[in-house]
Order: sequence, then C-alpha cells, then structure tokens
Amino acid sequence: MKGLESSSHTPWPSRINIRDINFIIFLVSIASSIIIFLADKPYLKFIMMYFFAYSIYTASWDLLYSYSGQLSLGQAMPFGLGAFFTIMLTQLAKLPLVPSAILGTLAAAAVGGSIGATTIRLKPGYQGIALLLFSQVLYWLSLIAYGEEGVSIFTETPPSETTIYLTGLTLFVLSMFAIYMIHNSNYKLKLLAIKGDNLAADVCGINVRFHKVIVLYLSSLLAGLAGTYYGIFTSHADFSIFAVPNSFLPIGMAIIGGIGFLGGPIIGSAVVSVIINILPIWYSLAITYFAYGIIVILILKLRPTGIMGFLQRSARKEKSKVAKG
Amino acid sequence: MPASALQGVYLSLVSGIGYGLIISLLAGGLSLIYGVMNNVNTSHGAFYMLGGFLTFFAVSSLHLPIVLSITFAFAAAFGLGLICLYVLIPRTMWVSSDPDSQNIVMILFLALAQVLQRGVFILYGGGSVAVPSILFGSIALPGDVFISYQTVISIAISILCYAALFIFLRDSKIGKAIRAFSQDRELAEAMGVRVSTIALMTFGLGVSLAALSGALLSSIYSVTATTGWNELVIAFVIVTFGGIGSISGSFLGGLVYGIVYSITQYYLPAYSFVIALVLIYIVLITKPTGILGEIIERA
Repeated sequence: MKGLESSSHTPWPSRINIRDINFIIFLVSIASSIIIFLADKPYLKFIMMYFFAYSIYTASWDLLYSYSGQLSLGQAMPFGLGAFFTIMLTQLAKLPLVPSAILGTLAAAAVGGSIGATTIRLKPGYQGIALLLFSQVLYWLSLIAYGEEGVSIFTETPPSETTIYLTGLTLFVLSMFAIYMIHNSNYKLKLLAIKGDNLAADVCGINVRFHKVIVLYLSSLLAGLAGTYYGIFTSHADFSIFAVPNSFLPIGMAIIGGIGFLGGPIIGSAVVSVIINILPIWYSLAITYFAYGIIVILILKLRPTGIMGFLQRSARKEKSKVAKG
Repeated sequence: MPASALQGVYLSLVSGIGYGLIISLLAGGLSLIYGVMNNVNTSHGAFYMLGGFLTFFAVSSLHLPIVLSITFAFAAAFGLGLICLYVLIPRTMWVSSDPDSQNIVMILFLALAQVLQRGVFILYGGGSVAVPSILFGSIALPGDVFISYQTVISIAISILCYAALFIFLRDSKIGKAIRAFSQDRELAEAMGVRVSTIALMTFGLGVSLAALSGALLSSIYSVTATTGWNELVIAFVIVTFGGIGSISGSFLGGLVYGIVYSITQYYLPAYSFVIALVLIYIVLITKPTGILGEIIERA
C-alpha cells in the first residue's frame, strides 16, 4: 500500500481526462441542462429537476455498491430523511429554506450513516436487508406520525422555478464532480481493495471499518442531498418516500446506466426520468413501473454493464479502428 | 396484574401462536432457499402476495372450492417459481458463494418482485382482496377467548406442512439430495446430485411455502398488490432468529415473532410492527455472533 500512499499527492486537476467518456457524458449533461434552461420549456424543466435529484440519488447508491461492495436495499432511508428533515425544519422551527436544507441534508447524512455503520459487519446481502428493515421502520413511523397526507414545505417566500432549477444544476455539477474525483483518485483503489477482499485489505494496512463507514456517510450525504432537493421541488414528503420501490429506483437506474461508471447514474437517471414522466401520459403509473422493472431485468440479463458498458466498448472499437489506420 | 391485563396476554399468546405458525411457513421457504442455494430471495414477499391473489383468482374466476384453491395457489407458485428461476437467473448463479453473484441475484429478484407487484396491480387494481374462510364460526377457549375455525384450520395446515416437509427432506430421494447438497456441495455433486435439479426443486418449494402462507393469511387478513415488503422483512427476521437454513429454527422463530407481535399489537397496535423490528434489532446488535453467526463477516 506504500505505492498507493505515495502517489496520492497527484494534484486534482491532472486527474481530469477530457477524452474520458464519463467526463464527456458529464459535460454533455451540463450542456443539455443549460440548453433546456434557456429554451424555457416548463415541462422539460420539471423533468430535469427529477433528473438532478435522481442522478445524485443513483450516484449515492453506486458509490456504496461499486466502490466499497456494500449493498443497500434501503437507500430510500437517507433520501427520505433529507426531504422530511428539511420540510420539518421549515414547519416546526420556522427556519428559512436554505438553512433548513443544509441542516436537513446534514441530519440525513448523520442518521443514515450512523444506522448504516451498525450494519458494516454483515455480509452485503444481509446488510442490504438490514437497511431495508430500517427504511420499512421509517415508512411506518412516518405513516403513523403524519398520516397519508405527509408534510408540506412552509415558507413565506417560496423560491422561483428558475432558482430551484439552477440550484439543482449546481448541486448536480458539484456532486458529480466530487464523484468523478473519487472515481479517478487513489482512494478508489483502497475502496476496491476492500470490496475485493476485506481480509487482504486489512493485512495491507487499510482500515477497512473506517473506510466502509466513511463511504456510508458520504453515500448518505449524497442521498440526503438528493432527498432534500426532491422535497424542495415537489414541496412535499410523505410515507411513500421510504417505500421499497423508491429504494429500488437508484438500483435500477444504476443498472440501466452502468454500475461503476460515473456516466452510469447520469445516463440511467436521464432514461428513467424521461420514462416515468412521459409514459404516464399514455399509460398508467403501474404499467410504467412494470415496464421499468422489465427493462432492469433485461439489461441485467443481456447487458450487465448497462448503456455505459456499450458506449465504452464502441469507443474502444472506434479507437482501435483509428489506430489501425 | 389485573384480570383484564392477564386476559390480554392470554389472548395475544393464542393469536400470536396462530399467526406465528402461519408466517413461519414464509420464513421456512426463505430459509430453505438460502440454506441450499446461498441466495437471498428478495422476491419472497411478492410470492406471499401472489399466494393470496392466486387463491382469490381460483375462488372467484375458476370457482374452485377454497381448499382446492389453496392447493392451486401452492402448485401455481411452484410452477411460476421454476419459470422465474429458469428464465431470470443465469444458471451459474443459481447456487453461488461469490458475493458479487449473490448481489446480482438479489437485485434480479428485487426487480422480479417489482414486476410481480405491478403486474398484479394492473390486473386487480390497488384494492384489497380477501379469500373466504374454509369454515365459518369460532371455538370458545377457557377465559372467554374465542379463536376462529379458520385460524385453527390454518394452524393445522401449517403444522401438517412442516411435518410433510420434514418427512420429504428426511426420507425422499430428492430430500436427501437437498440435505446432502446443503451440507457439502462438492461431495454431493461427485455422488451424482445435479445442481440444477436441486436448485429448481428448492426454489419451487421455497416460494410455494411463501404462497401457501399468503393464501392462509389472506383469509384472516386481506392482501393488496403492494403487500409483501413487510412480510419479506419479517421472514428475514424470523430466519436470522431461528438460524439460516434451519427449518425447525424457522418454526420456533415464527412462534417467537408471532407472540411478540401479537402482544405489542394488543397494547400498542399502531407501533406493533415497528416495536417488533426494533426489539429484534437490539438482539441483533447485542448478540451479533450468536444467533446470527453465519451472516457476520470480518470487516
């Protein structure tokens, strides 16, 4: 691990590779977001708000699963907590929206990370079910406490649509850039070592528990941030935010986009945001989610690396063609 | 303790034993699948829900008598389980000790659960359905406690199922092969036991036990298309309590859960599910290597 430690001082900017397909997708998604903002199409803007929240949410699950090998089947827990805490702070403490959002996100990260930390000794499958157990507990508690109607944001000066959109875009850029940096850092190698073999990583001097917990807190922070943003642009949160289908959402989006790639959550959440907002125009919501489940199964069966795997293979083929002349 | 409180505990014990025995069938199926195939079936709750709906379908559309309808649900879930395993899961992952494969299988089963639940929602809508009782009326127990015939019959069916499962695993050729396979996979394969046959039989049997549990409970409680997630968590809790891969452990775990759940439901009905889960979580974190031994890995 000496090699890892010594090379970890590479300056951040040198890690950015503008030919990297992940980075290209990141840039394209920013450009598309700006174009849609300038085009001023309200419905497209609304879909893009879903996209911002979902891509951060999916990246939070992917960070946990792809990098450290920890499986969460209850990612809706930090996501829902972010939304609930933020809305409750505006309602009960009568705090302005921005401090509520910051405190709500941090509280979601603290609670989600702390609960997750109690499960790190379990095998991934069981860890997944243990986290599912907690999201089910929160599902029932929120139903008992706030009923089916849930809670709504209380603010005297609601933010404009433009402010919400640009905030979403900023959060998206910052979160994805942070993930991109982790993706191209030596820290990722430490996490992959933990994922590959806990014991071997421990023997090599990596503090396995510490890094697993750090990733859990990071993942909860991102999921909490996504939930906070989701709660703000929908102005509402209820018990269904903790439901299992909501925990399945980031898993499915990561699979569709491609697990372990930065571009995976971006592409996956773009595809799903369009599907779940466009399909219900013609079909029921049940048919939409039925189709979503089928798509996830088909991709996992036929192309487990997702759309990113396909794009990366095509790019590699193209490169070798150019090299051959 | 006042007489009414004592009667409350007594009533909770009676109903808890009944509920626990029926729900333990669900856990027994999950335990069987994990014990043999090393995979957590995250679609188990969906098969529980399907058991209720298949029985309802047989009663309302095929006009079968209720006993035959329950049998139909059991058999149909078995067939559907075989098809799902065969079509969805790559054969190399049917039985696997590789964590990556196990995770992929869990995610595939989770997606299957989504598809099954949404499929039932499309067909039957979001309303609840209940199947008729096998026999109407109730028995009076000492202390002015009444228990319905339906609950008694469901308890009897659960006990009979456990007895049949024990005999099947102990005496039948396939049962012996399943036990041999779960104890030493390589040796069993060397002796001619086929992985695919064992996996298919185990998965089919496991999910049909879940469906049977759903069929029996849907006449006591109702069932909706979104039912199943709580039941999956409950089954997991019972399995970890009783010991993974242990059918008798699931039987006892189910009884313990049923009693804890019924007592909390009597005194704090709104929080019964939450309290039962929190109590069990406390056991999990205070005794992580005891009951759970197998699910802990070094971190």
